[in-house]
Amino acid sequence: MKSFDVKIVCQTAAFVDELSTEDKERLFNDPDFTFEREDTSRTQAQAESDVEYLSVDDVTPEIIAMEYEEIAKEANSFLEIIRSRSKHLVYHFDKNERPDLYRCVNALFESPTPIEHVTYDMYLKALRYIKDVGSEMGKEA
Amino acid sequence: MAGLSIYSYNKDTNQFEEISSGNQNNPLTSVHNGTDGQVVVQKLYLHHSENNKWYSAITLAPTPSNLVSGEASDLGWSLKLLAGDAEPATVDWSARVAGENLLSGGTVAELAARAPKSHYLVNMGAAGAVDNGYYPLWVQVTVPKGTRNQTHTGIKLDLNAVENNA
Repeated sequence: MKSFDVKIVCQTAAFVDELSTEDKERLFNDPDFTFEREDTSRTQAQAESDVEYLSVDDVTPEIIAMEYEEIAKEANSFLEIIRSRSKHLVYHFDKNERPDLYRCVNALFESPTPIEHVTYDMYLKALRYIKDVGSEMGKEA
Repeated sequence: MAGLSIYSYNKDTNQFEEISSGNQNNPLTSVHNGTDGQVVVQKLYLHHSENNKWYSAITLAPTPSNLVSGEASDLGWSLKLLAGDAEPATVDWSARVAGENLLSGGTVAELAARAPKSHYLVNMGAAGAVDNGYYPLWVQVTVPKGTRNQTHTGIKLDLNAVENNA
């Protein structure tokens, strides 16, 4: 007798912020969802220095000016970008070609230099921030 | 039955690739959308390259055998097997019970008397006649709606056959 291997992979299209902590950890630890760092020109320290999680108290005027739906739309853009490059950790964009994305990213994340890339980590933080703050703004709008 | 094995066809390389047996190097991989539920059908092939063997009493069994039967909108996961050149129709899959084996169909003449033929695997070759052809079989895997991210590698396809000298 020979036993042949079968592997059934179940992926969900659900937004990551809808997953429980345990499911997120399983997603990130699952080798089928491994994201390989594409940008080798930036060091880990440089990448980390670009991203700071804003607290509710640090809401910038740009955030206040944006409608909640617009923020959510940009978050969906993040998701589509990351999905289309599921094996790539860093997505670089041109601020002139994507002024909307540039404005949103730099409004969400404080950085000493302008940010022109999106990482999956940034996307997750943006989602968490939107969930925390954006829903409140949406209620007020 | 050292030579008889299961193969998939790689359209990118135009090569038949042997499904791995025990080390997960090249498993039969079925990827599904768990949010909406998804049914995936794949075509595999039985084949051997022996030039002095033929094979009889061929059976193929998914294990564990207690996979729950059900459509994508129903309960549970399911794995179904059918054999034959033509891709099975929806009605064929619906009539098939999940987890059931592909049984030995015997010779070509004996297979002709079986019903439905798609539940059986014909002998590959005969005494004095080696058959190195690729015989299609079909695997349908169903993952229901609302299934969370997960990967299952505990399911196997057990192939049994009697190896004969040609």
